[in-house]
Order: sequence, then structure tokens, then C-alpha cells
Amino acid sequence: MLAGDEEALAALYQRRARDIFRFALQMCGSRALADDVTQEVFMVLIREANTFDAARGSVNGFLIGVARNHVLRRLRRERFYVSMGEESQAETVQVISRTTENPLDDISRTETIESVRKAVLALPERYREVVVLCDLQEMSYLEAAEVLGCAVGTVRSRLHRARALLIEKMRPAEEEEAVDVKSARCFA
Amino acid sequence: MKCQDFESNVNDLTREQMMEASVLAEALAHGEECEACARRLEEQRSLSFKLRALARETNSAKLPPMGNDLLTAFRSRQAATSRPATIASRHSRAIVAGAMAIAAMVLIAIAVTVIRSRSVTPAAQSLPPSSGPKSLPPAEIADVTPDVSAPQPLPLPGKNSGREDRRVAGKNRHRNMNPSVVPVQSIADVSNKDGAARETPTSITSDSAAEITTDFMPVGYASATTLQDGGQLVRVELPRSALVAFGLPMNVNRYEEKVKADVFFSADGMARAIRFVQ
Repeated sequence: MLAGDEEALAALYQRRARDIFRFALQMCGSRALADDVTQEVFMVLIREANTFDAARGSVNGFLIGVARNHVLRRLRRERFYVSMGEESQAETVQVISRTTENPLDDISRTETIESVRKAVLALPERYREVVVLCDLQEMSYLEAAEVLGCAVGTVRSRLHRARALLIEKMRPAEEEEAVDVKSARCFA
Repeated sequence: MKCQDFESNVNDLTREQMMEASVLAEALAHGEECEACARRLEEQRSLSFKLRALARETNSAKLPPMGNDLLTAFRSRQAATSRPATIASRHSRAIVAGAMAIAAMVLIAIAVTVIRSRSVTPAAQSLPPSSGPKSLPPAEIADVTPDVSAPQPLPLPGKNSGREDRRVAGKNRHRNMNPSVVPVQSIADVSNKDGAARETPTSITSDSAAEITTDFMPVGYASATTLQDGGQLVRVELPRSALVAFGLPMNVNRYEEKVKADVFFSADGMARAIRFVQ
């Protein structure tokens, strides 16, 4: 790619863009923003390809690191805007429409995924990124530490705390459902 | 294994990370024994299951195609890097021009500084080490300072006046005298135009530049017609009480001392103006 081969750029995009896009989508929950971040990461790669040092980490780690910086910058910039909620509803409808045989199971599964997605998006950024990298992207502690630029022990402790927070966030919903069921039984 | 150790390893256990076999066995055994830790392990496994479902859901999302902007940027970047020599030459040319401009500015600044220092230094060097009035030995003062009762007239401006001035100046240089005690000055120009006594201390000669004088004050009635024919300036010594007569302040403790003064006599021999010298 450094020699000016467009096919090499296309191949690199096909191989790495999916991870970047997934990371951005899981971090911010917005498909449009994930698209932008993916394009920006490759623009940075084109402009500043010389800054990549193979001795410091893999290409994937470098690209995810750039994506992380862009995502955090965009999130801080758009923190003051309020989402209209139309996009998430459209995606939900799209997911349900893809279901095939058992619609009820698919709805339940979709609801579960949505609740996890919301819980992940509600995490603080430093906990969210370790969950995305280690649990959703299935990176090892070492790879995640390279991307985040911190120690492996830091990644482990943050992941431990993040999972505990996720469990806490998802527990009240289950308990509320249980309370509703009990009250329903009383009325019955 | 204690519950605290189980807590620290439960993430690795649910994420199926590489663990020591002994630690894994102990954790599983503790999970079977401890109800709270078993519940915690179950929660973690449930969370991992949900997170995997979310990951699968995200994986199925459609990847955006590579935009034309990327290809355009890539091509323009390649075009830019294919002309490194031109860019380098432009850069080097700009750097050399900037360096030359900076060097020129430095040289100009140095030249201005040198010129200024040279223009200031001769004036400073021309002044004697102690430029203030000196007190001469009484003998010299007696030679130089004329008595009030017998004023020593200065030559009028004419053929001999320049020669007389040069003679006096040569005499002063010969005696290594301070310019402040030059006894008499030629005032040929005093009555040249309007005839009024408007002479300033710096207008007499350069030798008396160190003297501090008052303005000429008229003595009696003086008009332009009386000063038209010129006159003579005589350096005299007066008692300090004479200052009071002209409205000048006087130090009472030094009333016995004398004060120098230049008296201007018109052609008819009358004193027309006076100024005090320090």
C-alpha cells in the first residue's frame, strides 16, 4: 500500500474495516457515526501510514487505536446533542424483520440483545471499551492493552469492574419483571 | 480456594481464558461448594452468553463500502509523494531565503547599534571627567576674575576681536583652565538684530557650555536703540545680596560669599543687562 497499490488498499480495507466498524458501532451505537469513523481511520492510514511502527504492535491494534481516538472525540463532541431515537427504532424493526421461523423467540432474543446493548452503551467510556474489545471483539488482554495503551493488569481490573456494572445494570430489569409477575398473580 | 480468589478468577473462568490447571480445578470445586460463588459464576456465564449474542448481531451488520473519497485521497497522496524532489527543492529554497532574510536583519541591527554607539561616544568623551564647575586656586581666580570696580573690557567686534579671542582661548588652554571660569566672552552677536538681551547660556561659546547662567535681566532702561552700537560683556563678582535686588533667592548662610555675574555695558558705558553665573 505504501508503494501506491490501490488493490492493496482495497484488500486491507476488506480485511480490517469490519473490525473497525464493529468497534465503532459497539462503542457509540450509531451506524452513521461508525461509518464516518471507519472512513476517517483509513484516511489517517493513507495520510500518516509512516507513523505505524510494527515493533509497537499489530496493524489491527494500530487501526483500532486510531478508531478509538476518533470515537471518543466524536462522543465528546456530540455529548451535548440529544438523540431523536428514530435510528435505533428503525434498526430494531430491521432486525425483527429478518427473523425466519419462530417470531416469539426472535423477539425475545432481540429484546435481550437490545437490553445488553443499552447496558453496554450506558457504561463509562473506559469500561465500555474494555468490554467491547475483550468480550465483543474477543481480543486477549494483551491485545486490548496494546490498543488502550495501558497495562494488562489495568485491562483485567477494568473488565472485572465493567462486567460487575453490567450485571448490576441488567439486574433491576429482571427484578422488576419478577415483581410485576407477583403482583399479577395477586390480582389473579 | 477462598471466595475472594474465586472472585478474581471468575472472569477468566467464564471467558474461557488460559488458566493453570490447578487454579481451574480449585475454582470449579469452590463453585460447587459455595452457593454465592456458584450464583456469581452463573451470572457471569449468562452475561457472557448475552454479550456473545450481541457480538453476533453486530457481526451481521453490513460493512460500508470503501468510499470514493478514500481512493481520491490515496491517489492524491501518491501523486504528492511522487514529486519529492520538487517539494524538497521548494522547501530548501524557502529555508535558504528565510535564513538570508534573518541574516540581513541581524546585520542591519548590528550596523544601527554600532552607528548609534559611535555617535554617542564622542560627545561623551568630549566632556571632561568632571564636567561641573571647578574651584580654581585663589591665585588663578585673582588673575582671571576682574574686579567690579575695574572692569576689564572686552574688545568690540571688529578686526582685532577674533585675534583677541584666540589669544584668550590660547591662554586658557595654556593654563589648562576649566571652561566655566573663562572670564569674559565676546558678545558681538548680542545686539545684532533686535538688540534685546535674549542670549541663552549655550549661545555664547562652547567653552562656557558647562556654566549655568540666568537669563539677562535689564538694568535700568534698555532699548533697542541703546544696544544698537554693540557693547561689552564683563565678568564680575558681586556680593550675594545682589541676587535679592533682582528677585532671585539667596542662601542666607552664604551671604558673605561672592557670586559671579556677566554685566553688559552698552557703547555709552552704561550697564544695560546682567546675568548671574554659577
